[in-house]
Amino acid sequence: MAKLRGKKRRGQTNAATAFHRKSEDSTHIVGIGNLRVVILQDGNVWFAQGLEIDYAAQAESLAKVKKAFEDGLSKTVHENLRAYGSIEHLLKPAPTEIWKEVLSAGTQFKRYSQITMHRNLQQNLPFKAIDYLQKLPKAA
Amino acid sequence: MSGRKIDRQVVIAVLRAHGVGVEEGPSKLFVMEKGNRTEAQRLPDMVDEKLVRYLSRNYGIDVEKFHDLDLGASDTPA
Repeated sequence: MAKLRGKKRRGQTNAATAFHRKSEDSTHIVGIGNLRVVILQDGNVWFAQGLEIDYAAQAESLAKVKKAFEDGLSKTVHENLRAYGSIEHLLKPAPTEIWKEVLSAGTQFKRYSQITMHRNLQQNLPFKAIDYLQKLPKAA
Repeated sequence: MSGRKIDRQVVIAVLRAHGVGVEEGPSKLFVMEKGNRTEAQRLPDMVDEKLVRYLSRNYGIDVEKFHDLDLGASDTPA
């Protein structure tokens, strides 16, 4: 199991993790756990940015951006397995400047969680848990 | 205030012009490949600035290329 590189914040106990196993029948099992995803709203545009994995998605509603992120990352895992036989290239955190931008001091966040598991790469999502962090407007 | 948005076809053209393989799958889910980076992206009709910046940094393309049709948005590799 790989521990994804990322910035640990005070009080954070659930580090992001990832694993990849291949069974005897060539079924790939990939799990990504506790991935933090910051969700930003700008007018009618919603943007989701993964932190421990540099993956992002855009859509026109909160529900749609979460689905776009999950579907896109699931397919990205599949394509990485198809192309490289591993998820090694995917395990890259967002750059420092992105962390600073989305986790700026004084910013309020709302935390979301989603738990899914998969045993078949093409039928289920590869996430054990995703924590969605929604950036809220600063208090006046 | 919303950032500048770019038509999906322009974004795809710029990516392809800079060596990114882009294949369209179902539900507007595009598979992009360059070097050792492979990902799937559900590109909306109009791509917002944040997603453009994300694509820009991950595929090594100046963000200005997405705004300059003469420099980037052609179907021929650079």
